[in-house]
Amino acid sequence: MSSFPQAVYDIFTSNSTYINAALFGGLLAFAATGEWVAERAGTLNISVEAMLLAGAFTSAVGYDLTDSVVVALVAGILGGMLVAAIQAEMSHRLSADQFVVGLTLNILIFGLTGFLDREIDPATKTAARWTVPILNKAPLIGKALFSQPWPFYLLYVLIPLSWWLVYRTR
Amino acid sequence: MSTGTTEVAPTLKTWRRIRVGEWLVLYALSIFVALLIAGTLVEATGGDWLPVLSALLDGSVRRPGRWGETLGVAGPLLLVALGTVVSSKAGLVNIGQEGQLLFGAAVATYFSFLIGGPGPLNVVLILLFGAIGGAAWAGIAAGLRYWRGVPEVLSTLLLVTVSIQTVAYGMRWEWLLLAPQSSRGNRNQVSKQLASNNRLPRPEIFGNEFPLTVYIGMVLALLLAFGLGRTVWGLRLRLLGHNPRVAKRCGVSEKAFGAGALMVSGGFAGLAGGAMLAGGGFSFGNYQFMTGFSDNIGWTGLLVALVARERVLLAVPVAFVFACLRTGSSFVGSTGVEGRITDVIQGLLVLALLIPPAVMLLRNTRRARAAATVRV
Amino acid sequence: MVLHRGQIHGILGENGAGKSTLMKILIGLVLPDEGRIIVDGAEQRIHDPLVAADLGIGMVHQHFSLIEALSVWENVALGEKGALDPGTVRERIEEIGEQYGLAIDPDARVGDLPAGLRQRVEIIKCLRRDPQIVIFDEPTSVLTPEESEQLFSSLRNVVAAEGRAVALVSHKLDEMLSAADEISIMRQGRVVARQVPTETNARKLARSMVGRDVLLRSERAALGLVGDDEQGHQDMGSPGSSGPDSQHPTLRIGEAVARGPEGTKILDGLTIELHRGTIVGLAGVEGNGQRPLGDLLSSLLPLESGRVEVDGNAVPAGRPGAMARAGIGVIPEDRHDSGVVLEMTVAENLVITNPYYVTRRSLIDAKRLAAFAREIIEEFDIQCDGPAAPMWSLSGGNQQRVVLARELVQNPKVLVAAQPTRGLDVVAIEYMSNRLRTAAEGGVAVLLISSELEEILDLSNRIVVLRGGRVAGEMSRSEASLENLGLLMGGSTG
Repeated sequence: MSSFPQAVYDIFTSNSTYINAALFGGLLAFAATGEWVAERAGTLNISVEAMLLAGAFTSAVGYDLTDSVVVALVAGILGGMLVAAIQAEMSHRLSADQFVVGLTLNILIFGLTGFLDREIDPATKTAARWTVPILNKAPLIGKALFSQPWPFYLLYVLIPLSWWLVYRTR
Repeated sequence: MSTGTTEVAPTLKTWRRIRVGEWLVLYALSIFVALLIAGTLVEATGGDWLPVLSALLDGSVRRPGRWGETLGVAGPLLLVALGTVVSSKAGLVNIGQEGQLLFGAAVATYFSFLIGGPGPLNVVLILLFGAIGGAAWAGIAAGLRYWRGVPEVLSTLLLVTVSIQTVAYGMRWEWLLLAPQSSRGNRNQVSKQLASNNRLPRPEIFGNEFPLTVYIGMVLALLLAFGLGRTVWGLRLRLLGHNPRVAKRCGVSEKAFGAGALMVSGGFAGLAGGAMLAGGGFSFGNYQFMTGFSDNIGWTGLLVALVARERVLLAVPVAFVFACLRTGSSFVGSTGVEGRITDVIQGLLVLALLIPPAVMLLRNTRRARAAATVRV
Repeated sequence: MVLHRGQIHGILGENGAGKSTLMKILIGLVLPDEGRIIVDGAEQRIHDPLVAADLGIGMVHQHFSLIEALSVWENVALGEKGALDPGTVRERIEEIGEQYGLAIDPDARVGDLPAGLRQRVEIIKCLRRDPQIVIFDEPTSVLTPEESEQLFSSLRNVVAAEGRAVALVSHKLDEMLSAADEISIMRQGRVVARQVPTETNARKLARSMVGRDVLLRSERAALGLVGDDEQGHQDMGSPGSSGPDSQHPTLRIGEAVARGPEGTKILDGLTIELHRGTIVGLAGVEGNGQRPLGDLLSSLLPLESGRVEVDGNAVPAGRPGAMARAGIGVIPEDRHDSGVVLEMTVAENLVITNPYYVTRRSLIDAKRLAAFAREIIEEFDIQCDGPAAPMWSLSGGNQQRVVLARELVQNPKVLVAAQPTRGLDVVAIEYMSNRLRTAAEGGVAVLLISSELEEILDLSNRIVVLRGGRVAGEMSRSEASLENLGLLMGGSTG
C-alpha cells in the first residue's frame, strides 16, 4: 500500500478525479440551482430528493420509449415538476406543514419509483459526449469541464439564466 | 365584546362551528382515496389489490405471532416519536433521529460486552448506554447550534451520514464492534450476539411475543404528557418553543434548555436503538448489531411525531399504524407485488391525513367570500 | 358615513369601536354581512383589494408593509404590472414628493429609514396609483410631533389640490380637531355622532366616544393635577417611609454601553437613577435608546460596560431572568415580542414569570392556577373567555392588562412601562395611568418610557430626556415645558 501522502497526491493529480467530480457536482448543481431559486422566494424545499428521483425515473422511461435523449430530459423535467406541484399545492395552497409534506414525498417517491422500476424496468444509455475543442486540453480540469455528455453543458446556461431571473426581472 | 383584530386564520368561533361529523367524513374520504390510489397502482402493474391488502393484514396482525412483532416495531417508533416531540416543543427541529438511534445502538453494543453484573441490571445499563449515545450524538448538533449558530435542522440531518460512517468504521474492527471471526460465521458485518441474560424480556401474551420496549414507551409517553402539561419544566420548555425572548425574560436560558431538549430528543432515539438491540426479534437482527441496523426506524419515528402533530398521546396509535405497515410489508412480497408498495401506501396515507384540515380551511374562506358577494 | 371630495373626514373611536374594520371593508379585506357601498353614485361590491384599487380607493396602513431589504423605489414598484423600469419609478417618486411635500430619496434602503420616512414611502405607494379616496389608518402612531405636523400639511395638499376624499382614522382627539373638516364618532360598531371641529372641543368628543365624561390627560396637565409636582420627592405615599431615599436609589444604571447587531452603540454611557415611589418619565424621540433600555431591563440585552444595580446590588445584564429576579417588572413596548405568549392561555401567561405561586413541589396545581388567574382577571377587569382562553383571543388593550397584572402581582421594586398606552383608547389610557400612579404611591419606582410628551408630563415626577443612547438632560416636572423638552429631544442644549 502506497503511503498516505502519495495517495492524496495521486487523487488530486488524476484526471478521473476531476471528471467524476464534475459529473457528480454537475448533478448536484442542477438540483441546487433549482433549490436556490426556491429559497430566494422563501420556501424551504425538503423534497428535492423526491424531485430528483422522480425526474430520474421519468427520464429513464422517456428514453426507454423514444430512444431520444431530448425527450428523456424533458420527461425528467416534467417528473420533477410533478412532484414539485404536489409539494407546492399541499404546502402553500393547502397550508400543510412543509416538513411533513417534504419528508413524506421523499418516502413516497422513493417507494413509488422503486416499485415501478421493478415492474417496468426501463433501460437507458448515456447521452452522446460533446467535446469543446482547445479548452478540453486544459490540464486536469479540461476534460472534466469540457468533455462531458452533452446535457452537462446545459448547466453553463442554466446558472447565469437563474441569476438573471432572480436579480434582474420583476 | 369583539376582539380588536380580524384574523385570516379561523378564530375560536369558526372552529366551534365545524361539526365533528364533517371532519370524520373528510378523513374517511381521504384515507379511502389514498388506498384507492395504492390499489390502482397495484392493479395497473399487473397485481391484485385484494391479496396485497390481505397480506398486509396477515403480516401485521392476523397471523399468529404477528401482532407481537408489530408491537415490537411500534415500541422503538414510539420512543423516537416521543423524543421528537420534546425537541419540537422547545422550538427545535431535530431530523437526525436515524443517526442518533444508530449511534446509540452502537454505543449500547460496545458496552454490552464490557459490563458484568446481574442480568436485569445489565439490560438497564444497555438501554442507558443507548440513550447516552443518542444524547451525545444530538449533543454535537446542540453544541454547533448554541456555540456557532448552525441551524440544528441542518446539523442533525448531516450528522446522520456521519453517524453511519462512524459506525461503519466501528464495524471494521474487532476491538470495537465487530464479532470475532469464529462467531461470525459467513456473515461479514455483525457484532457478537448479546448474552442471553442481557436481553430484554419478551413476555408472551396470547401467543405473541414482544419485548418490554412497548411498555417502556407507553410509560414514558404518560410521563412526558404529564411533564409537559403539569410541571414547571414543561411550562418553561413550551415557553421557549413559543417565544424565546419572553422565555429569556422569565429566566429560561435558551442555551441550557434548548441544548438540553435536543439532547433529550437524541437520548430517546438512542434509547430506541438500545431497545432494538436488547429486544431482538426478527425485525431487528436478533440481538446482533450490524450495518444498517437502524433500518429507517429513525426516519419513520420522526414521521410518526409529525403525523401525530407533536401530541404525545396521539403518537401511540400512530406508531402502531406505521408499525403495521412495516410488518405487513414483509408479507406483501409473497403475493408477487414488489414490497416497496408499502412505502407508497405509507406516503399516501400521511398525505391523506394532511388534507382534511387544509380543505376545511379553504372551504370556510370560500363560504365567507361567496356569502358576502351575494348579499352585498 | 359619507365622504366628500376635497374634505378630510375624521373617523374617531375607541379601540374596538369598529373604525379599522369599516375601513377594511372599504378596501376589500373584510366582507360585510349587510349594508351597501356607493361610490360616485354607483353601488359597488368590494370583495377583493384589487376591486377596491380599481375603484380608486387607496389606504395607508397603520402597520407598514415594506420590505426592509429593498430600496424605496423597489418597494414602490412592488405589485405593479408590466416591465420593471427603475427610471420611471424614480421619476414618479420625485414628482409625488414635490407635489405633496413628501421628499424622499428613491434609492435609500427602507431598512435604514426612520418611521416617519417609512410612512412617506407608504403614502407614495398609495398615491402612485392616483386614488380618489385615500384612507389613513392611525397615521401618527409612530411619528414625532414635527413629523405629524408635516404629515397633516401634506394631507391638506392632497385634498385641496385635486379634490380627493380623505378619511382619517384615529383615536387622538387633538389631531382630529386640528386636521379634520368633519368628524364621525364611532362607538360599538356604529356612528353615534357627527361633529365639526370648529363647534366642538376635546371634552365633547371624548364624551361622545366613550359615553361618559372622561378626565383627559391634557386637561389634567393643564389644570396642574399632575402627580405631586413640587412635593413629588417628599411625598412617597407609603406610610412609614422616612423621607426621600435619595442616597439609595432603588434602581441605578451606571454608564451603560451596549452595541447593536451592526456594531453601533445603541446605549452610549446611559446613567439613570430611580427612587421609590416616584415616576421618572423618560422622554425622547423613538430610536434613541428606548428599546435597548427596555431590553436591558428585561434581561434581553448584555452590556459592553456599565452596571445595573437594584437596591445597591449589582444585577448581571443579559443573564436570563436576572432582572426579573432582582425585582424589575417590565411592561414592554411590543408585547408580542417580549411580553405575552399568544399561543398560551391567559392563566399560563400570568404565571410564566413566576410559576411558584401555583405549584406544589414543582408540579403545577391546575386548580390553584385557575383560581389565581380568576382572581387576577377580576381584579384587573380583563375581558376574556376565562383563564383557559388563548391569549390571541384577547384584544390589545386586554393583553396589555394581562402584562400589567402579571408584573404588579410580583410586587416589583421597579416597574418599567415602555410606551404603555400606545394604541390604547381613552378609557384604557385612563386605566393604565391610574394603575401606574397607584403603583408609585405604593412605593414602586416607576420608569415610564414614552414618546408621547403628554403622557410624560401627565405622570412623571421627574423627567429625563434620552438622546443618542444617553441622557441629554433632566429636570423636575415643575421645570418642564414642551419647549425645553422639545429642544433637548431635538438636539440643542437649551
